[in-house]
Formats: sequence, C-alpha cells, structure tokens
Amino acid sequence: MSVLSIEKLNKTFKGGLFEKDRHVLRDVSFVLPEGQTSGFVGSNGAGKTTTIKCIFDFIRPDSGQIHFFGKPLTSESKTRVGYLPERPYLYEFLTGMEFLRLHWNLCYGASLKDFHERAHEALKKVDLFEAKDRRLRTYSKGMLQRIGIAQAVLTRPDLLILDEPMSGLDPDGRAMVKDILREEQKRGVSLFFSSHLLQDMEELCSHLVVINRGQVLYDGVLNSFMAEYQSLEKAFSVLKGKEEGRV
Amino acid sequence: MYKIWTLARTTLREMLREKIFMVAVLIAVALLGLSFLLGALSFAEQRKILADFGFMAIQISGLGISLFAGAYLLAKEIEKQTCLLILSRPVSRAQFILGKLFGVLALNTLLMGALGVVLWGLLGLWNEPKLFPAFFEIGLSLWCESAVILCLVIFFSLVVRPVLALGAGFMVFLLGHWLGDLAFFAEKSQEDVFVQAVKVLHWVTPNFYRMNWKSAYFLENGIPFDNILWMLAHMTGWALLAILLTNFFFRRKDIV
Repeated sequence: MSVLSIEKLNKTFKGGLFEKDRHVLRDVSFVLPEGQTSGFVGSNGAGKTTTIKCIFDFIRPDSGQIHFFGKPLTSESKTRVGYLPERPYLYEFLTGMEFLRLHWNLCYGASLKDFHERAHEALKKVDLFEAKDRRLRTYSKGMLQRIGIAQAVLTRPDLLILDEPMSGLDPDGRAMVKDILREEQKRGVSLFFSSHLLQDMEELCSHLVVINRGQVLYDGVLNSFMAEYQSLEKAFSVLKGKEEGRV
Repeated sequence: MYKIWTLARTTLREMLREKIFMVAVLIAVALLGLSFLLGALSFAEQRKILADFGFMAIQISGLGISLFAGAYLLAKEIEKQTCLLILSRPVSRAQFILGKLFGVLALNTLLMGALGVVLWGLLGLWNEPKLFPAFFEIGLSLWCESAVILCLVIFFSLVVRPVLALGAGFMVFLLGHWLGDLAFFAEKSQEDVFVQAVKVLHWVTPNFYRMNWKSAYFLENGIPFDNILWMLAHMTGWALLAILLTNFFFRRKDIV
C-alpha cells in the first residue's frame, strides 16, 4: 500500500502585470511505498517545496490528485502525518514544552493523556530535554531545527514529510538529524524528505523521486538507479541533461 | 472548538509576551493619567472632562491594538510561514482565523476592562452603583467598535500590504465617526453628488457615529435599550461580514 500518491499535479503561479505566468509543476506524479525512506531530490527551484506545499494544501494545485493512505487529505490523515517545513520559523515566544503542547492540543484536543511521556521522549530524542523550558527565541538554528523535528515525531506519525531537514546545519547538527531519521526508520515510519544534497539521499534512502524544472524525471528504487548510473551525482546530471536537451 | 481555544490562548500569550503590548498599556495609562490631570485643572466640569478623556483613552488603546495587531496578525504568519506547521495539523483555515481573532479580542477585553476599572475608580463611581449600567454600556460600545475594526483590518491585510490595511482600518474608523456630520453637511449643501456619496458611505462604513456614547455615563437609566440592540446587531453584522470575507480570501490564498 502507498502512504502517499500524487497524480498529475500541475501548478502555475500567475505573473504580475508585466510578468509571465510560471508553470512550476508539470504533471508531477509519484507514489511513496509504505515503510520506506524516500528522497525527493532536485536543484534549487526545481519544485520540491511547491510539491510539498501542494501535498498539505498550503498551495492549491490547478489540477491533480493527492491521496494519503488511499484517501484525500482529511483531519484524520493529518494526525497520521508529521511535517517539518524548509525554514522552521516557529512561535519564538513559546518555550520548547509549550510549543509541543500546542501541537499536541491541535491534534488531540484537551486530553493530555500520554503527552508528557511523548514530549519527554521526543525532547530526549533531539537532545533538547534540558532546554525544554527555554523560550524558542533563545534557541540556535540547529536547536530550532531539532525542536521542529520533535514536534513532527511527537504524535508518532506513520508518515514523516521533511522539507530540507538538514539545510543550513553544521556537521554535528546534520549527523544528529540523520540519526533521528534512522531511528524513525527503525520504528517503521515512512519517511519522505527533500534535499538538494545527494550524499544525504545515498545514505538514508531506499526510494527516490527526482524532479527538475517541475517535472518528475525518476520515481523508483534507489539501488537500480545507482546501478545504472554508478553514482547519484552522475545520474542526476545525465537525467537533467537529457531533460534539458529535450526542452 | 478546543482547537480555536488553543490558538486563541497562544495568540493571547504571544501578545502578552511581546513588548508592543507593554507599550500599548503604558500609552493607555499615560492617557488616563492625562485625563485625570485635565479634569483636575477644570473648576466646574472635572468629572465630565475626566470621563470624556478617560473613555477616549480606552477607545484609543482598543483601536491601537486592533489596528496594529489586526494588520499583522495573518500577514506575519504568512510572511514568516509560522502558519504552515499549524495548518499541517488537523486545523482548518477558518479555525485558524477564528483562533487568532479571538486571541486579539481577549487581549482587547483584558486591556479595556482593566482601564475601565481604573477609570471607574478615578471617577469615584463606587458610591454610585446606579451609574454602572451606562458606564458598562459605553465600555461595551467601545469594545464592539474595536472588534469591528479588528475584523475589517484582518480582512484588509489579506488583500493589501499590512501598512495599507492599517491605514484603511483607521480611515474606516474616521469615516464611521463622521457619518452623522457628513450627512448633516450634505443636507445643508444640497449638492446631489455630496448627498449620494454620503448615502453610499452609509452602506459601506459601519456607523460608529450613532454609538458614540462617551459623554453619557451620567444617565441613571443607562443607554436606551433600542440603541443597544441596534448597536449589537449592527456591529455583529459588520464583524460577521468581515470574518466571512477573510475566510473566503484566506481559503483561496496560496501560502508560497
């Protein structure tokens, strides 16, 4: 069963008075298999973030269909999905614990059953337990990224969607995020994360979706992709070259 | 409902922890202090001057919070993309708008309520409980006015830049208060264009002129019930219209 399927997604941003319309997604289709880690790779401006924003209905696609666990996006499916945006700007006036409680309340209402246990578990996982009562304003960039991940895993989702989770982090921060993702993999969570860093994909993913100029160039198993092209870097440049030659 | 409450509580917490709220409180207290001094300078009408300026201080505080908080309430969430995480949860855009709105309304209630208690004390009305209904009704009218301005400014902020939304909100406030005077001058001028323009203004602007009761605190029987009923219906209508329009535009907005 697929955890997320996207079919023929199209999106055009209307230009201004003297600007052309920008067709940013062209028939984007892919399927994420359950229990696997899928990478979403593409250059800057390829359409990764727009696709993810369409998935959550932050951006309304012009056409296309999106299904979570075989159904359109509903409140029920939203509770089964964890999300971390590209730049996790958070409510900086809240403390780490208040921030997690806000997200818990939005998912489960007033019931705090299991909240403290889950919050402490998530905070320890991202190594922020000691900082839980500090305002987010005082957190470093890496800490903000980690508390963002803590809120994403707080509700023990079946699917985690992370937009550039390692961008802008120092090597320690990147290693920590990768460790967290590996732990989630072990728990059987389906992961979908975007990056333009190919090394991250090779290390973590079993499934790959390649996008360039708003078009999906590859959707399939990483190993067969690698077998064909030896390295991801080479494959990416060959595919891009083919596509751009066609255009 | 609990999701709206959660968002309202978070918004209120944000406002209380931001320094801008302290600035609003300081300005309000300074205005109340000034009205007390102005009242003390007068020989005959001390209480009236104190009441006039005191209610004006409450009005300005409520208006200031509504204009500044309203103009940036959704615009900031969209620009900083803090709304993405909230909307990725089982929260609809309508619930998000209502949560944010109720948070600011709660702040206005707290601020205006506290200032009202201070003014009540300064006017020495604790010995005259019969004046409480009029005092409360004036406070209610100021609160309703600030609530309608808040709803309108939030809507404006979705279609224009926050600074313009703030300006538009202030313009609605002024026009709403000038409606009676404009109608009077239009009638006197007998110029058809002027008369028609004022008629149009009556339809597109909330009528704050008719609920300007700031000088009526001494009425022992309070404000006539018909007037209060009219105010509540008029203000509820305008607030609902603004909320529906906000929801309509926000639902269609791409958060890029």
